Amino acid sequence: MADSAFNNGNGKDREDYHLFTLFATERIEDYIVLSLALIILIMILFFY
Amino acid sequence: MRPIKTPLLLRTIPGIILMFSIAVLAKGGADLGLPQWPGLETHFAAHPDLKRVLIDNLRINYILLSIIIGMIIGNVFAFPAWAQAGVKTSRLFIKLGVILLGSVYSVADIAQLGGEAIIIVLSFITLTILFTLWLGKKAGMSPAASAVLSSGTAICGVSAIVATAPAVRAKTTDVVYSIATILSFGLASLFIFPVIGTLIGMSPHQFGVWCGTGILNSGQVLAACLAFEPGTASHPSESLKTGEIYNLVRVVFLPFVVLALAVYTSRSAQLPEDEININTGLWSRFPVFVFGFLAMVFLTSFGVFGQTTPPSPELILIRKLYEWFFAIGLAGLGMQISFAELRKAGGKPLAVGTAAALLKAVGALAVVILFIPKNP
Repeated sequence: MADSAFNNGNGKDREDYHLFTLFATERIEDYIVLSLALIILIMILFFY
Repeated sequence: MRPIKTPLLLRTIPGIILMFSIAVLAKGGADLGLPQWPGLETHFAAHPDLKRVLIDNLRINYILLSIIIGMIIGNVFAFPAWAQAGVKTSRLFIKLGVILLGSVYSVADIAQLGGEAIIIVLSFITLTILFTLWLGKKAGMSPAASAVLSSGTAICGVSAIVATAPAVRAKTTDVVYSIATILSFGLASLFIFPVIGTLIGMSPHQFGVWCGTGILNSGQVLAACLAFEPGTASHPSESLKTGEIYNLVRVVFLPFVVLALAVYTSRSAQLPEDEININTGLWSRFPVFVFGFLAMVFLTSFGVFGQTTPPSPELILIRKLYEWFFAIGLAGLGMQISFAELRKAGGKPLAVGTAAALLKAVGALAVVILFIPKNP
């Protein structure tokens, strides 16, 4: 199982995944997106 | 003396500026107070021959132009190293756009479109997985390789492959082949779907159903829908509105599919239980950004951002923002489409994946023509 994906979190597949995102997991990316969306909406409501 | 490491946030700025510049080049600067630059799309529209070929027939608009320019920069010129960190935020922009896209729906829209989408999407997920696993077995692929490929063809491309790989203990080569196959098919779909939709006279709603069901990659669903009908801030794209609901329904099923494929692989491979990673908690794989989209639908429906018809200034701004986020994110997506990576597609995964993806696209087209009305 030496070349199975994500066995120890630093395999080639994790590198492939990192071609597409900056973040360690998709969950972290989602939380950052949710936070940014909240900030944008608060700013829109505040300035209008 | 150790070199000073630049903070990650600062390292993303050059790439984000590059993606933003591509979006401005394609979309124009009118929204930014720069009416002097109307955008490449407007330039093409000003020439009758270019308009007929590129815009009317090939459906090239600012979204596809952003992707094409991104692909040219990423493949023809050397991909700038200083831009890499920023370009990797492209999916973040796309997800941010999807959350803000919630502002074009009402709760009633979600109930109506969502009910129909669950039935169609669930049927296609089940059929595509069963077909890919069957064909993979016939072609002599390992259960893990077939499982990774089937999740990529059935759910949402790269994210599904990445989520499924550890659960089924797929080999590196399985993942690389599957990603390259899915992206190759997605790239072709991006340009072919809008042309076919135009040729057979699909309505925007029908086209959205077809894309949301038949295209494999989430970003490419968005791009194809916007290529077919870009929409405006006051009249949002109907094809995008329908297509994204289908896409999100599909994404929401991801954790369940990963679990099912992990169980299938463990039984097919006949390995001891401790050799198989069925540690696939449903919640840990749930795409939580979908909650942001749903919250946006509720906030808009309850009038938090003002009236919806005609749209309030707040809603107009939110809709302009998601158009820009999509243009920026898709420019980055284009830059990440590497022809060198796509050439890695090959062998059995390419043949099986292409067969499954084609069957899904043609099957979805048949369902749309037979059962989906012109308007929701």
